[in-house]
Amino acid sequence: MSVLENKFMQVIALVVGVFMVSVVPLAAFSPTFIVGTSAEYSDYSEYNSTIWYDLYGIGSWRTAFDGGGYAALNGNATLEYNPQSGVTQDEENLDVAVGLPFTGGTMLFETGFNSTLDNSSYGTTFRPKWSGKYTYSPGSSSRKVVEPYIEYSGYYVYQELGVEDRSSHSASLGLSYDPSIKIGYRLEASGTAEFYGEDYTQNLSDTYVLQGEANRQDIIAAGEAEITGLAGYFADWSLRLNGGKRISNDEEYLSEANLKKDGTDAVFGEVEGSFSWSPTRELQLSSLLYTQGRRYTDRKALDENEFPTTEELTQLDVGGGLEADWTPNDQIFFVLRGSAGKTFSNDPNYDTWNFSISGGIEYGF
Amino acid sequence: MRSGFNTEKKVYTDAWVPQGTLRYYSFIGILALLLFWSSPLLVTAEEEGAVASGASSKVEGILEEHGYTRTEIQNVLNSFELAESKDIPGDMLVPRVQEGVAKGVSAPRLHVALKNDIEYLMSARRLFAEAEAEAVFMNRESQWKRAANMLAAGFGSDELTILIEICKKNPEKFRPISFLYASLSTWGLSKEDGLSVAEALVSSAIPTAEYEGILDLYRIARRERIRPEELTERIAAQAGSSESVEELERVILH
Repeated sequence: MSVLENKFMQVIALVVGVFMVSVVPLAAFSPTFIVGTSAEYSDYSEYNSTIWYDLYGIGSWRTAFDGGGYAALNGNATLEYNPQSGVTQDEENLDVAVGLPFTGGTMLFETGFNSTLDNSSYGTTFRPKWSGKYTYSPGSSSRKVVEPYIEYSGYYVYQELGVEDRSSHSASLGLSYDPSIKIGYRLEASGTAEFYGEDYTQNLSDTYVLQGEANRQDIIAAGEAEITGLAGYFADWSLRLNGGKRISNDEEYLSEANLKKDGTDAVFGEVEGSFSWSPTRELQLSSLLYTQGRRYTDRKALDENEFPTTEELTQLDVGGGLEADWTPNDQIFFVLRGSAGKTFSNDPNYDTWNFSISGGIEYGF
Repeated sequence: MRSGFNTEKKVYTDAWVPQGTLRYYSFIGILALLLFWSSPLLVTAEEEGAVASGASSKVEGILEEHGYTRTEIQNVLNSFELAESKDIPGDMLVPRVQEGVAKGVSAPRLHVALKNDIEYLMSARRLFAEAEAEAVFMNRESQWKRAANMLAAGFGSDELTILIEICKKNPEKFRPISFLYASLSTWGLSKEDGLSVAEALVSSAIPTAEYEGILDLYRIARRERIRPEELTERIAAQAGSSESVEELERVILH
């Protein structure tokens, strides 16, 4: 993490801290604490099926400020154990949000992190994140207005064993329009810059003779459209489309021949639909369907013998998930989840499928 | 005067109208005027009669069209007479008949359904009167009908009385809040919580068209494992300072 980024994070933490400490909470809501455990069976193409046992805890706290502001704290931690390999790994998440009314609209500051103390693939990882968003609301009492927003967000990834350490900075411009409580639309255009550390190119140098000293830098331009809606009193749905282009400076350190094997420039698109239904307080059912495609512009698909073909590598993921949970008393929740996916590709290495099913129980205090 | 005389003379001396005929025409003219002036009253009276018996004749037509016998039709019409005798507009019962014939319901069952409807409408009117809100609510037929429908759906008089009290100052909010209350109740929210939410919303600036979004908040809270009772407390505390469900959601949930 550079000195500049360090300072920036300190400023963000200071701003959030000042709000958290100086603003007297007028209505602190009761916190929520949950512990849960689950068993997940998963299968992935030619790999052996595997079972993970999870133990996790979730906590959330929220308070409202006078005038429409609020602060929220959400955290969770998970411990996973694989009895076949004997591997134990963990994951922690913390999110802090402060929303405040601001001239003509609202401001939202968010910060938090994701971490693992001992991940089986990456060792210790740490991913702090931060964002600030301003939404302009002309005539807050009227729904018939388009609300523009502007957002900056960033994150930093540290991997003890991995090589994808990087910082990311995104700027988004969007419009949201909710003509009624039953339907809402959102359009967003965003630009992201990702700066990788030297570990990434050093790792490549083990395989290739690099062309230069440059570190990897990517620019991602993307657009997104989303429609959300209510289906009566008991159900809601959403449909999200996004697409964009990733442009990397990989031609600065990879030869043209190697770009065909490891180039990262690509165009991508995704469609995702979800539906959730809760006919009674005891039961909730959720479903998700998605398809996402990616076509590399430099990288070629490899054939069965690992030789580059003349076709650009393309991948199409299609999949979905179902989740059902039932509670007899709003304290104990029985949760059942299932998901399945298939990747179609013109490279047999990426022609894969996956399946998982899990069952668990959660207890709320 | 001369001029008038001359005029009269001129009229009297019209070439082909005999003098006796003028009296006859005057009489006819006055009669015609009387008929003309009185015709609006007659028409109004006819219209009133049509309104009173319009629902009955409409129902009669519907039942005849669907092959009900004369006796069956008369039984149903008796219910309309009963309703009108209790100051319940027959038009309020017509949809029930339409629903019944669409489902092919027998005349005795239709008769019972209408009788129940009449009782629920009378009970609803009594509850409005007990809350000293008869004048506020009864001029809106849809609200009266909605209250009766809630009783028919099994909601208690106590619940309805509280909803009426809550909406006394904002009677236009009665129908939308009662729909939300019924949905929250169907979802499983307790009576106390439902009424607490209703009171908070009615006294807030949140538009009635957005009440449907409140149940969405409960579903989102459930996903985040926030107990419904906890969310009710949050809504009760914050609805008053929110202008929309979205704003409320932002403060208490997201």
